[in-house]
Amino acid sequence: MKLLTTESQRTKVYNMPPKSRRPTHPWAVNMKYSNFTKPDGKTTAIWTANISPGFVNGVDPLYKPTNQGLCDNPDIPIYEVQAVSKIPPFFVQLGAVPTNESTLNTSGAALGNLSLTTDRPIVASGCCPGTAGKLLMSCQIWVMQARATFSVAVDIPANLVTGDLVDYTVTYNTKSVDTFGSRVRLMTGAFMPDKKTATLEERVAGAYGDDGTDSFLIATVYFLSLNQDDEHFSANLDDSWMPFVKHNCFWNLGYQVPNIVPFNLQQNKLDPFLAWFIGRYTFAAGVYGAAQSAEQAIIDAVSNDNANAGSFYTI
Amino acid sequence: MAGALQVAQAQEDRGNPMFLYPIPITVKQRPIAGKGLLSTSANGETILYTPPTGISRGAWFVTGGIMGAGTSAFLQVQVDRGYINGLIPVVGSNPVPINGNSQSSPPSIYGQAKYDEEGRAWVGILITIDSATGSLKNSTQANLQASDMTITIQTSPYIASADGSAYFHPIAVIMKDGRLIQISYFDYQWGTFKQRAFWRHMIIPA
Repeated sequence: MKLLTTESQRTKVYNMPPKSRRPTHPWAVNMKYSNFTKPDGKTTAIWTANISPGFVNGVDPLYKPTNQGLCDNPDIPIYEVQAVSKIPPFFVQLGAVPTNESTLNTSGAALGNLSLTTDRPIVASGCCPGTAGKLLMSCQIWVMQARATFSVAVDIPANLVTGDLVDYTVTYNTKSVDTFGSRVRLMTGAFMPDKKTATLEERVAGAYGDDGTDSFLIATVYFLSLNQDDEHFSANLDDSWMPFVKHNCFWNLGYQVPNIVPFNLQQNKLDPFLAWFIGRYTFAAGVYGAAQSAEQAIIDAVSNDNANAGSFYTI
Repeated sequence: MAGALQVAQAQEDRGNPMFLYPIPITVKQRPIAGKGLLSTSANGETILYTPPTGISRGAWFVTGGIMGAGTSAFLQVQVDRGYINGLIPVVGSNPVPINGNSQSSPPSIYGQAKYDEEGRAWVGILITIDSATGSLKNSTQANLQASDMTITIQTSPYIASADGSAYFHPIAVIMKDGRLIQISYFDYQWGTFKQRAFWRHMIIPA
Protein backbone atom coordinates (compact mmCIF):
# COMPACT_ATOMS: atom_id res chain seq x y z
CA MET A 1 0.00 0.00 0.00
CA LYS A 2 1.48 3.35 -0.96
CA LEU A 3 2.56 5.71 1.77
CA LEU A 4 1.00 9.08 2.26
CA THR A 5 3.43 11.86 1.51
CA THR A 6 1.96 15.33 1.84
CA GLU A 7 0.94 16.74 5.19
CA SER A 8 -2.70 16.93 4.22
CA GLN A 9 -2.57 13.35 3.09
CA ARG A 10 -0.74 12.09 6.13
CA THR A 11 -3.48 12.75 8.57
CA LYS A 12 -6.88 12.48 7.04
CA VAL A 13 -9.39 12.65 9.82
CA TYR A 14 -13.07 11.97 9.36
CA ASN A 15 -16.01 12.27 11.71
CA MET A 16 -14.04 14.71 13.77
CA PRO A 17 -15.54 18.18 14.22
CA PRO A 18 -13.43 20.92 15.78
CA LYS A 19 -12.12 20.03 19.20
CA SER A 20 -14.63 22.03 21.20
CA ARG A 21 -17.48 20.26 19.46
CA ARG A 22 -16.10 16.75 19.51
CA PRO A 23 -18.37 14.13 20.96
CA THR A 24 -17.20 13.73 24.49
CA HIS A 25 -19.13 10.72 25.66
CA PRO A 26 -17.12 7.69 26.72
CA TRP A 27 -16.30 5.25 23.91
CA ALA A 28 -16.62 7.93 21.21
CA VAL A 29 -14.86 6.52 18.15
CA ASN A 30 -12.90 8.74 15.75
CA MET A 31 -11.57 7.22 12.55
CA LYS A 32 -8.32 8.35 11.02
CA TYR A 33 -6.42 7.36 7.88
CA SER A 34 -2.75 7.92 8.43
CA ASN A 35 0.66 6.35 8.35
CA PHE A 36 0.87 3.65 10.98
CA THR A 37 4.03 1.99 12.23
CA LYS A 38 3.49 -1.68 12.83
CA PRO A 39 5.23 -3.70 15.54
CA ASP A 40 7.77 -4.95 12.99
CA GLY A 41 8.83 -1.37 12.29
CA LYS A 42 7.27 -1.11 8.84
CA THR A 43 5.11 1.89 8.13
CA THR A 44 1.96 1.68 6.11
CA ALA A 45 -1.07 3.85 5.52
CA ILE A 46 -4.07 2.36 7.25
CA TRP A 47 -7.37 3.22 8.91
CA THR A 48 -7.06 3.52 12.66
CA ALA A 49 -9.64 4.11 15.37
CA ASN A 50 -9.08 6.47 18.26
CA ILE A 51 -11.48 5.90 21.13
CA SER A 52 -12.33 8.29 23.97
CA PRO A 53 -11.60 6.60 27.29
CA GLY A 54 -14.38 4.39 28.56
CA PHE A 55 -14.43 2.39 31.75
CA VAL A 56 -15.73 -0.95 32.97
CA ASN A 57 -15.93 -1.03 36.77
CA GLY A 58 -13.67 2.01 36.79
CA VAL A 59 -10.95 0.35 34.70
CA ASP A 60 -10.10 1.39 31.16
CA PRO A 61 -9.88 -1.64 28.86
CA LEU A 62 -6.50 -2.94 27.84
CA TYR A 63 -5.59 -2.91 24.16
CA LYS A 64 -3.29 -5.90 24.19
CA PRO A 65 -1.28 -5.49 20.95
CA THR A 66 0.31 -2.32 22.34
CA ASN A 67 -0.27 -3.07 26.05
CA GLN A 68 -1.99 0.28 26.46
CA GLY A 69 -5.12 1.19 28.33
CA LEU A 70 -7.71 3.38 26.62
CA CYS A 71 -6.53 6.26 28.82
CA ASP A 72 -3.19 6.04 27.01
CA ASN A 73 -4.98 6.96 23.78
CA PRO A 74 -3.77 4.11 21.55
CA ASP A 75 -4.26 4.20 17.79
CA ILE A 76 -6.12 1.01 17.04
CA PRO A 77 -5.49 -0.27 13.51
CA ILE A 78 -8.34 -1.77 11.55
CA TYR A 79 -6.99 -5.07 10.29
CA GLU A 80 -10.18 -6.98 9.67
CA VAL A 81 -13.36 -6.03 7.90
CA GLN A 82 -16.12 -8.00 6.32
CA ALA A 83 -18.50 -7.32 3.49
CA VAL A 84 -21.96 -6.38 4.73
CA SER A 85 -24.54 -8.78 3.41
CA LYS A 86 -27.64 -7.05 4.75
CA ILE A 87 -27.15 -3.38 4.00
CA PRO A 88 -28.80 -0.91 6.41
CA PRO A 89 -31.32 1.45 4.75
CA PHE A 90 -29.08 4.43 5.48
CA PHE A 91 -26.43 3.04 3.15
CA VAL A 92 -28.94 1.90 0.57
CA GLN A 93 -29.89 5.57 0.30
CA LEU A 94 -26.23 6.40 -0.26
CA GLY A 95 -26.02 3.91 -3.10
CA ALA A 96 -24.47 0.86 -1.44
CA VAL A 97 -25.05 -2.44 -3.19
CA PRO A 98 -24.57 -5.91 -1.76
CA THR A 99 -21.32 -7.62 -2.55
CA ASN A 100 -21.29 -11.10 -3.92
CA GLU A 101 -22.75 -13.28 -1.20
CA SER A 102 -20.29 -16.07 -1.86
CA THR A 103 -17.38 -13.95 -0.71
CA LEU A 104 -18.80 -13.92 2.82
CA ASN A 105 -18.27 -17.62 3.21
CA THR A 106 -14.71 -17.74 2.07
CA SER A 107 -11.70 -17.81 4.32
CA GLY A 108 -10.37 -14.84 6.23
CA ALA A 109 -7.73 -14.29 3.58
CA ALA A 110 -10.37 -13.72 0.94
CA LEU A 111 -12.16 -11.33 3.27
CA GLY A 112 -9.02 -9.27 3.28
CA ASN A 113 -7.46 -9.64 6.71
CA LEU A 114 -4.25 -7.67 6.93
CA SER A 115 -1.57 -9.48 8.85
CA LEU A 116 0.59 -7.56 11.28
CA THR A 117 3.68 -8.62 9.37
CA THR A 118 2.65 -8.31 5.73
CA ASP A 119 1.79 -5.37 3.58
CA ARG A 120 -1.10 -7.05 1.88
CA PRO A 121 -3.91 -4.49 1.77
CA ILE A 122 -7.49 -5.09 2.73
CA VAL A 123 -9.30 -5.72 -0.54
CA ALA A 124 -13.00 -5.75 -1.10
CA SER A 125 -13.11 -9.11 -2.76
CA GLY A 126 -16.74 -8.79 -3.77
CA CYS A 127 -16.22 -5.78 -6.00
CA CYS A 128 -17.03 -5.85 -9.68
CA PRO A 129 -15.11 -3.02 -11.37
CA GLY A 130 -17.04 -1.29 -14.07
CA THR A 131 -20.44 -1.80 -12.45
CA ALA A 132 -22.46 0.83 -10.64
CA GLY A 133 -22.98 1.03 -6.92
CA LYS A 134 -20.84 1.47 -3.84
CA LEU A 135 -19.39 -1.27 -1.69
CA LEU A 136 -19.93 -1.48 2.04
CA MET A 137 -17.66 -3.17 4.57
CA SER A 138 -17.73 -3.13 8.33
CA CYS A 139 -15.76 -3.95 11.42
CA GLN A 140 -16.71 -3.99 15.08
CA ILE A 141 -15.17 -2.81 18.32
CA TRP A 142 -16.17 -4.44 21.60
CA VAL A 143 -15.05 -4.98 25.17
CA MET A 144 -14.48 -8.46 26.50
CA GLN A 145 -14.19 -9.61 30.10
CA ALA A 146 -12.85 -13.03 31.02
CA ARG A 147 -14.27 -14.83 34.06
CA ALA A 148 -14.46 -18.22 35.69
CA THR A 149 -16.90 -20.83 34.51
CA PHE A 150 -18.15 -23.98 36.12
CA SER A 151 -16.98 -27.43 35.29
CA VAL A 152 -19.38 -30.20 36.19
CA ALA A 153 -18.38 -33.84 36.55
CA VAL A 154 -21.19 -36.36 36.79
CA ASP A 155 -21.03 -39.76 38.43
CA ILE A 156 -23.98 -42.14 38.38
CA PRO A 157 -23.80 -44.69 41.21
CA ALA A 158 -27.49 -45.51 40.65
CA ASN A 159 -27.75 -46.88 44.16
CA LEU A 160 -31.46 -47.37 44.67
CA VAL A 161 -31.00 -48.55 48.25
CA THR A 162 -29.39 -45.37 49.56
CA GLY A 163 -31.04 -43.09 47.03
CA ASP A 164 -27.58 -41.99 45.80
CA LEU A 165 -28.43 -41.95 42.14
CA VAL A 166 -26.40 -39.13 40.61
CA ASP A 167 -23.41 -37.26 42.08
CA TYR A 168 -22.07 -34.00 40.74
CA THR A 169 -18.70 -32.43 41.31
CA VAL A 170 -18.83 -28.75 40.49
CA THR A 171 -15.55 -26.81 40.28
CA TYR A 172 -14.33 -23.50 38.97
CA ASN A 173 -12.61 -23.40 35.63
CA THR A 174 -10.39 -20.37 35.10
CA LYS A 175 -9.01 -21.17 31.67
CA SER A 176 -10.24 -17.99 30.02
CA VAL A 177 -8.99 -15.83 32.91
CA ASP A 178 -5.58 -17.50 32.58
CA THR A 179 -5.62 -16.74 28.86
CA PHE A 180 -6.97 -13.20 28.82
CA GLY A 181 -6.23 -11.94 32.33
CA SER A 182 -8.68 -10.39 34.72
CA ARG A 183 -8.56 -6.91 33.16
CA VAL A 184 -11.23 -6.04 30.64
CA ARG A 185 -9.96 -6.08 27.03
CA LEU A 186 -10.70 -3.92 24.04
CA MET A 187 -11.16 -6.08 20.96
CA THR A 188 -11.53 -5.30 17.27
CA GLY A 189 -12.39 -7.57 14.42
CA ALA A 190 -14.63 -8.10 11.46
CA PHE A 191 -17.49 -8.93 13.83
CA MET A 192 -18.04 -9.63 17.51
CA PRO A 193 -18.22 -13.42 17.84
CA ASP A 194 -21.48 -14.89 18.98
CA LYS A 195 -21.52 -16.24 22.47
CA LYS A 196 -20.23 -19.78 22.54
CA THR A 197 -22.28 -22.03 24.72
CA ALA A 198 -21.78 -25.65 25.62
CA THR A 199 -24.48 -28.11 24.70
CA LEU A 200 -26.33 -30.04 27.38
CA GLU A 201 -24.36 -33.16 26.46
CA GLU A 202 -21.07 -31.28 26.85
CA ARG A 203 -22.09 -29.93 30.24
CA VAL A 204 -23.19 -33.34 31.48
CA ALA A 205 -19.88 -34.78 30.32
CA GLY A 206 -18.09 -32.20 32.46
CA ALA A 207 -17.48 -29.52 29.86
CA TYR A 208 -17.33 -25.90 30.92
CA GLY A 209 -20.48 -23.87 31.29
CA ASP A 210 -19.51 -21.71 28.33
CA ASP A 211 -16.38 -20.11 26.87
CA GLY A 212 -15.77 -17.98 29.98
CA THR A 213 -15.98 -14.55 28.35
CA ASP A 214 -18.61 -11.83 28.25
CA SER A 215 -18.60 -9.24 25.48
CA PHE A 216 -20.35 -5.95 24.91
CA LEU A 217 -20.46 -4.16 21.55
CA ILE A 218 -19.04 -0.63 21.59
CA ALA A 219 -19.43 0.40 17.96
CA THR A 220 -19.74 -0.80 14.41
CA VAL A 221 -17.63 1.05 11.83
CA TYR A 222 -18.88 0.98 8.26
CA PHE A 223 -16.68 1.79 5.28
CA LEU A 224 -18.39 2.98 2.10
CA SER A 225 -16.45 2.97 -1.16
CA LEU A 226 -16.75 5.26 -4.13
CA ASN A 227 -18.94 4.15 -6.98
CA GLN A 228 -17.34 1.20 -8.66
CA ASP A 229 -17.46 2.96 -12.03
CA ASP A 230 -15.76 6.02 -10.57
CA GLU A 231 -12.28 6.55 -11.96
CA HIS A 232 -10.93 7.03 -8.41
CA PHE A 233 -12.56 3.85 -7.11
CA SER A 234 -10.19 1.62 -5.21
CA ALA A 235 -10.89 -1.92 -4.10
CA ASN A 236 -8.30 -1.45 -1.37
CA LEU A 237 -9.63 -0.12 1.89
CA ASP A 238 -7.87 3.24 1.63
CA ASP A 239 -8.77 6.89 2.05
CA SER A 240 -11.14 6.81 -0.91
CA TRP A 241 -13.50 4.94 1.41
CA MET A 242 -15.63 6.94 3.85
CA PRO A 243 -16.01 5.64 7.42
CA PHE A 244 -19.28 5.88 9.37
CA VAL A 245 -19.37 5.06 13.08
CA LYS A 246 -22.49 3.56 14.60
CA HIS A 247 -22.12 3.75 18.37
CA ASN A 248 -23.77 1.12 20.50
CA CYS A 249 -22.57 2.33 23.89
CA PHE A 250 -22.53 5.90 25.21
CA TRP A 251 -21.84 5.52 28.92
CA ASN A 252 -19.34 3.84 31.15
CA LEU A 253 -20.15 0.34 32.23
CA GLY A 254 -20.35 -1.79 35.30
CA TYR A 255 -19.89 -5.54 35.22
CA GLN A 256 -20.92 -8.20 37.70
CA VAL A 257 -20.57 -11.96 37.74
CA PRO A 258 -22.80 -14.14 39.96
CA ASN A 259 -19.89 -16.40 41.06
CA ILE A 260 -22.32 -18.55 42.98
CA VAL A 261 -20.60 -21.91 43.13
CA PRO A 262 -23.07 -24.75 43.42
CA PHE A 263 -22.60 -26.99 46.43
CA ASN A 264 -21.27 -30.44 45.80
CA LEU A 265 -24.05 -32.16 47.63
CA GLN A 266 -25.01 -35.75 47.08
CA GLN A 267 -28.62 -36.47 46.51
CA ASN A 268 -28.85 -39.16 49.16
CA LYS A 269 -29.32 -36.25 51.57
CA LEU A 270 -32.69 -35.72 50.02
CA ASP A 271 -36.01 -37.12 50.86
CA PRO A 272 -35.98 -40.65 49.32
CA PHE A 273 -38.96 -39.93 47.12
CA LEU A 274 -37.42 -36.68 45.87
CA ALA A 275 -34.13 -38.45 45.23
CA TRP A 276 -35.89 -41.00 43.13
CA PHE A 277 -37.74 -38.24 41.37
CA ILE A 278 -34.56 -36.29 40.58
CA GLY A 279 -32.78 -39.44 39.57
CA ARG A 280 -35.41 -40.02 37.02
CA TYR A 281 -35.66 -36.48 35.71
CA THR A 282 -32.32 -34.96 36.51
CA PHE A 283 -32.17 -32.35 33.78
CA ALA A 284 -35.71 -31.05 33.68
CA ALA A 285 -35.00 -28.13 35.96
CA GLY A 286 -38.45 -26.65 35.78
CA VAL A 287 -40.08 -29.36 37.89
CA TYR A 288 -37.82 -28.97 40.94
CA GLY A 289 -39.64 -26.28 42.75
CA ALA A 290 -39.65 -28.49 45.81
CA ALA A 291 -35.89 -29.04 45.77
CA GLN A 292 -33.73 -27.26 48.31
CA SER A 293 -31.72 -24.31 47.10
CA ALA A 294 -28.40 -26.15 47.06
CA GLU A 295 -29.80 -28.90 44.89
CA GLN A 296 -31.43 -26.29 42.74
CA ALA A 297 -28.05 -24.61 42.24
CA ILE A 298 -26.53 -27.89 41.09
CA ILE A 299 -29.34 -28.42 38.68
CA ASP A 300 -28.89 -24.85 37.44
CA ALA A 301 -25.20 -25.45 36.83
CA VAL A 302 -26.01 -28.50 34.78
CA SER A 303 -29.08 -27.26 33.00
CA ASN A 304 -28.50 -23.59 32.34
CA ASP A 305 -26.56 -22.39 29.35
CA ASN A 306 -24.51 -19.77 31.16
CA ALA A 307 -24.54 -20.55 34.83
CA ASN A 308 -21.89 -17.94 35.58
CA ALA A 309 -22.47 -15.42 32.79
CA GLY A 310 -21.84 -11.84 33.84
CA SER A 311 -23.79 -8.73 32.91
CA PHE A 312 -22.72 -5.33 31.64
CA TYR A 313 -24.81 -2.35 32.67
CA THR A 314 -24.60 1.43 32.57
CA ILE A 315 -23.20 3.13 35.63
CA MET B 1 -38.43 47.47 15.21
CA ALA B 2 -35.10 49.23 15.08
CA GLY B 3 -34.48 48.35 18.68
CA ALA B 4 -34.74 44.68 17.99
CA LEU B 5 -32.45 44.99 15.04
CA GLN B 6 -29.94 46.79 17.17
CA VAL B 7 -30.14 44.05 19.78
CA ALA B 8 -29.60 41.44 17.13
CA GLN B 9 -26.76 43.43 15.61
CA ALA B 10 -25.16 43.82 19.02
CA GLN B 11 -25.29 40.09 19.48
CA GLU B 12 -23.74 39.57 16.08
CA ASP B 13 -21.00 42.04 16.91
CA ARG B 14 -20.09 40.05 19.96
CA GLY B 15 -19.60 37.08 17.74
CA ASN B 16 -22.59 35.32 19.16
CA PRO B 17 -24.73 33.76 16.44
CA MET B 18 -27.50 33.22 18.96
CA PHE B 19 -29.92 35.42 17.04
CA LEU B 20 -29.97 34.65 13.38
CA TYR B 21 -32.84 37.03 12.68
CA PRO B 22 -34.27 39.98 14.60
CA ILE B 23 -36.41 39.05 17.52
CA PRO B 24 -39.20 41.51 18.24
CA ILE B 25 -39.05 43.25 21.58
CA THR B 26 -40.83 40.92 23.90
CA VAL B 27 -43.72 42.10 25.97
CA LYS B 28 -44.93 38.66 26.95
CA GLN B 29 -43.27 35.30 27.25
CA ARG B 30 -44.76 32.00 28.17
CA PRO B 31 -43.34 28.52 28.26
CA ILE B 32 -44.98 25.83 26.20
CA ALA B 33 -44.98 22.08 26.32
CA GLY B 34 -41.73 20.86 24.87
CA LYS B 35 -38.79 23.10 24.23
CA GLY B 36 -38.82 26.85 23.91
CA LEU B 37 -40.73 29.97 24.83
CA LEU B 38 -43.51 31.74 22.98
CA SER B 39 -42.52 35.40 22.78
CA THR B 40 -45.11 37.97 21.84
CA SER B 41 -44.24 41.52 20.77
CA ALA B 42 -46.24 44.70 21.22
CA ASN B 43 -47.71 44.44 17.76
CA GLY B 44 -48.85 40.89 18.38
CA GLU B 45 -46.09 39.13 16.49
CA THR B 46 -45.42 35.80 18.20
CA ILE B 47 -42.46 33.57 17.66
CA LEU B 48 -41.21 30.37 19.20
CA TYR B 49 -37.83 31.09 20.68
CA THR B 50 -35.53 28.43 22.07
CA PRO B 51 -32.95 29.97 24.35
CA PRO B 52 -29.60 28.21 24.41
CA THR B 53 -29.27 25.98 27.41
CA GLY B 54 -26.20 25.21 29.46
CA ILE B 55 -24.63 21.82 28.97
CA SER B 56 -25.25 19.61 31.98
CA ARG B 57 -22.10 18.33 33.56
CA GLY B 58 -23.99 15.58 35.30
CA ALA B 59 -23.53 14.45 38.87
CA TRP B 60 -20.19 13.88 40.60
CA PHE B 61 -18.36 16.36 38.35
CA VAL B 62 -14.75 16.28 39.54
CA THR B 63 -12.44 19.28 39.29
CA GLY B 64 -8.87 19.65 40.46
CA GLY B 65 -6.02 17.25 40.03
CA ILE B 66 -2.33 17.29 40.79
CA MET B 67 -1.17 20.21 42.93
CA GLY B 68 2.45 21.13 43.58
CA ALA B 69 5.34 19.36 41.94
CA GLY B 70 8.06 16.86 42.66
CA THR B 71 8.12 15.43 46.13
CA SER B 72 5.68 18.00 47.42
CA ALA B 73 2.99 17.07 44.87
CA PHE B 74 -0.39 16.00 46.15
CA LEU B 75 -3.86 15.41 44.76
CA GLN B 76 -6.69 17.79 45.49
CA VAL B 77 -10.18 17.57 44.02
CA GLN B 78 -13.62 18.96 44.56
CA VAL B 79 -16.66 16.93 43.60
CA ASP B 80 -19.95 18.43 42.51
CA ARG B 81 -23.20 17.23 44.01
CA GLY B 82 -24.27 13.64 43.50
CA TYR B 83 -26.78 11.45 45.29
CA ILE B 84 -26.72 7.83 46.43
CA ASN B 85 -30.12 6.71 47.66
CA GLY B 86 -30.91 10.41 48.12
CA LEU B 87 -27.83 11.01 50.28
CA ILE B 88 -24.91 13.29 49.45
CA PRO B 89 -21.55 11.93 50.70
CA VAL B 90 -19.86 13.97 53.40
CA VAL B 91 -16.25 14.85 54.08
CA GLY B 92 -14.35 15.41 57.32
CA SER B 93 -14.84 14.71 61.00
CA ASN B 94 -17.27 17.60 61.12
CA PRO B 95 -19.25 16.26 58.19
CA VAL B 96 -19.78 18.66 55.28
CA PRO B 97 -21.64 17.48 52.16
CA ILE B 98 -19.42 17.48 49.08
CA ASN B 99 -21.35 20.39 47.59
CA GLY B 100 -21.07 22.41 50.79
CA ASN B 101 -23.81 23.70 53.04
CA SER B 102 -24.89 26.97 54.61
CA GLN B 103 -21.90 26.96 56.95
CA SER B 104 -19.16 25.64 54.66
CA SER B 105 -18.06 25.94 51.07
CA PRO B 106 -17.60 22.72 49.09
CA PRO B 107 -14.76 20.84 50.79
CA SER B 108 -11.60 19.71 49.05
CA ILE B 109 -10.60 16.09 49.11
CA TYR B 110 -6.89 15.40 49.38
CA GLY B 111 -4.77 12.41 48.48
CA GLN B 112 -1.15 11.49 48.12
CA ALA B 113 0.36 11.76 44.64
CA LYS B 114 0.61 8.00 44.33
CA TYR B 115 -0.45 6.02 41.30
CA ASP B 116 -0.71 2.44 40.17
CA GLU B 117 1.85 0.97 37.77
CA GLU B 118 0.09 2.60 34.81
CA GLY B 119 0.00 6.03 36.40
CA ARG B 120 -3.62 6.13 37.48
CA ALA B 121 -5.28 7.23 40.70
CA TRP B 122 -9.00 6.93 41.32
CA VAL B 123 -11.38 9.38 42.94
CA GLY B 124 -14.37 7.51 44.22
CA ILE B 125 -17.20 7.11 46.67
CA LEU B 126 -16.30 5.02 49.71
CA ILE B 127 -19.27 3.38 51.35
CA THR B 128 -18.87 1.54 54.64
CA ILE B 129 -21.73 -0.56 55.90
CA ASP B 130 -22.56 -2.21 59.18
CA SER B 131 -21.42 -5.76 58.47
CA ALA B 132 -24.18 -7.16 60.66
CA THR B 133 -27.09 -5.52 58.87
CA GLY B 134 -25.65 -4.68 55.46
CA SER B 135 -26.89 -1.12 55.64
CA LEU B 136 -25.44 2.25 56.64
CA LYS B 137 -25.07 2.97 60.34
CA ASN B 138 -26.35 6.47 59.79
CA SER B 139 -28.81 6.66 56.96
CA THR B 140 -30.13 10.21 56.99
CA GLN B 141 -28.39 13.24 55.54
CA ALA B 142 -28.51 14.97 58.92
CA ASN B 143 -26.52 12.32 60.79
CA LEU B 144 -24.49 10.91 57.89
CA GLN B 145 -20.80 10.58 58.80
CA ALA B 146 -17.69 10.32 56.67
CA SER B 147 -17.31 6.82 58.09
CA ASP B 148 -20.54 5.92 56.27
CA MET B 149 -20.20 7.56 52.89
CA THR B 150 -17.39 9.82 51.76
CA ILE B 151 -15.09 10.60 48.83
CA THR B 152 -11.54 9.27 48.81
CA ILE B 153 -8.57 9.03 46.44
CA GLN B 154 -6.72 5.74 46.10
CA THR B 155 -4.47 3.85 43.72
CA SER B 156 -6.95 1.09 42.92
CA PRO B 157 -10.50 1.05 41.53
CA TYR B 158 -11.44 -1.49 44.22
CA ILE B 159 -11.12 -1.74 47.95
CA ALA B 160 -10.21 -4.95 49.69
CA SER B 161 -12.49 -5.94 52.52
CA ALA B 162 -12.76 -9.32 54.24
CA ASP B 163 -16.53 -9.29 54.59
CA GLY B 164 -17.47 -6.79 51.88
CA SER B 165 -18.33 -4.09 54.40
CA ALA B 166 -16.37 -1.46 52.42
CA TYR B 167 -17.22 -0.59 48.85
CA PHE B 168 -15.45 1.86 46.51
CA HIS B 169 -17.20 3.21 43.45
CA PRO B 170 -14.85 5.12 41.11
CA ILE B 171 -16.10 8.46 39.78
CA ALA B 172 -12.97 9.81 38.08
CA VAL B 173 -9.41 8.93 37.17
CA ILE B 174 -6.43 11.22 37.68
CA MET B 175 -3.60 10.33 35.33
CA LYS B 176 -0.02 10.88 36.35
CA ASP B 177 0.43 13.21 33.36
CA GLY B 178 -2.22 15.52 34.83
CA ARG B 179 -5.32 14.50 32.91
CA LEU B 180 -8.55 14.07 34.82
CA ILE B 181 -11.10 11.78 33.21
CA GLN B 182 -14.66 11.66 34.48
CA ILE B 183 -16.23 8.21 34.91
CA SER B 184 -19.57 8.73 36.67
CA TYR B 185 -22.33 11.00 35.43
CA PHE B 186 -25.46 9.83 37.22
CA ASP B 187 -27.01 9.81 40.66
CA TYR B 188 -27.19 6.30 42.03
CA GLN B 189 -29.35 3.74 43.68
CA TRP B 190 -27.33 1.37 45.79
CA GLY B 191 -28.05 -1.77 47.74
CA THR B 192 -26.35 -4.78 49.28
CA PHE B 193 -27.06 -8.47 49.40
CA LYS B 194 -25.29 -11.24 51.24
CA GLN B 195 -23.57 -14.04 49.42
CA ARG B 196 -21.89 -16.67 51.58
CA ALA B 197 -21.01 -14.32 54.47
CA PHE B 198 -19.79 -11.68 52.02
CA TRP B 199 -21.67 -8.49 51.33
CA ARG B 200 -21.98 -7.68 47.65
CA HIS B 201 -22.92 -4.22 46.45
CA MET B 202 -25.06 -3.27 43.48
CA ILE B 203 -25.08 0.29 42.18
CA ILE B 204 -27.14 1.51 39.25
CA PRO B 205 -28.16 4.93 37.94
CA ALA B 206 -31.14 6.32 39.81
